[in-house]
Amino acid sequence: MKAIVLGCGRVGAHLANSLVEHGHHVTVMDREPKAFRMLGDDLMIEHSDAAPHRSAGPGTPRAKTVRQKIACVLGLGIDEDVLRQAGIEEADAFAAVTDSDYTNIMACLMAKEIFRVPRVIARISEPKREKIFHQLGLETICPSILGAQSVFDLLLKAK
Amino acid sequence: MYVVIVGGGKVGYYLAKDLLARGHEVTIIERDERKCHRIQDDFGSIVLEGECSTDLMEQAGASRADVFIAVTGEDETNLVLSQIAKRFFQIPKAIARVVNPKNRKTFNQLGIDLTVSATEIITTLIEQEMATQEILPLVSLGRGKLEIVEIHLPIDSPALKKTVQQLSLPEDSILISIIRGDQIIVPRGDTVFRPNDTVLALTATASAEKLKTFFYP
Repeated sequence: MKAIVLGCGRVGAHLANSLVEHGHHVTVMDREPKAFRMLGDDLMIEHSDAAPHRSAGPGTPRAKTVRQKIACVLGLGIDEDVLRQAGIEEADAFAAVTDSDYTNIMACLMAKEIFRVPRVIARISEPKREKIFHQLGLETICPSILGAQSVFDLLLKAK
Repeated sequence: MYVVIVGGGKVGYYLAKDLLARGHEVTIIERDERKCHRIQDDFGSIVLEGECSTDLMEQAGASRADVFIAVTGEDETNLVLSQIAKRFFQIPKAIARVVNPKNRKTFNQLGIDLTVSATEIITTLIEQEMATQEILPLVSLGRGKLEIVEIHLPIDSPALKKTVQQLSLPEDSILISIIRGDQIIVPRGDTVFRPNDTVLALTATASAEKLKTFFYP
């Protein structure tokens, strides 16, 4: 699968690393060059090399031991040209996980409605806004609610 | 008319002032406390303080609004809130401010067709002042598909001494008038072009470049 992750903070970097570990092609986008350090130095590649990798055909078994590198694209996630540069036209999945809810919604709307990416997921920080995302037909994840739920479960289990 | 405005900065403030003066009903949603106070002091209690959300829009009575205007300084916010206004509250008209002109196309693609970009307006005005060999766009109509343009005929224009009929302009362009000194001429088939004429034309935006070749060498 070819995935694009928008936002290279803690969530984005972790997500990108996990996807790569599972053998997917990942491109990470961020407007801040320093943000890519979150990925770990050995993993980054310049965006000039970020041309969409075609996954190996069915006849060639993928070597699981070799870790794919992560392509990094610098720029705004709501800029059509930057999204194209990140290979959104060939992407199978798009995840917007910046810390700005509205940026995430706008980027996801673009991915879904302009570029027709099959799988689009947005992160939201403010649980109250989840309703907005759903009204716009977007799939969302709210770390604050998930975190609270996990703590709640652990507390009850500990009893 | 009932107008809901999001963003009480300079644009929102003066917009509200103008609308109120024309007798419209206005509610402003603004997150900054100080800006809220300023609006309240000047216009009375027409402001709701807080991060704009569906709840706040509901509180503002968005479902009975005739027009929704998003003029915050952030394009993402303006886009998303306009979407909500249209899709959820079904407000007939949603207008969004576009800070970065590049985003206008995206707004249109995502269904927000009424956008205003100060940057673009200023750029166009400056271009109008500067350009001499260009077709000057004066007004954009039909959501950008049509425009009224101004053309100054140079002394070596290929249109000179020809009649309007001889010129056979593109099908989707039509001449509106010719300004010759103090005279305003309504062009007919037998009107002849002269140097330094200013021609006003209505044209499909896509054909504006083609139109240029008829008047400039």
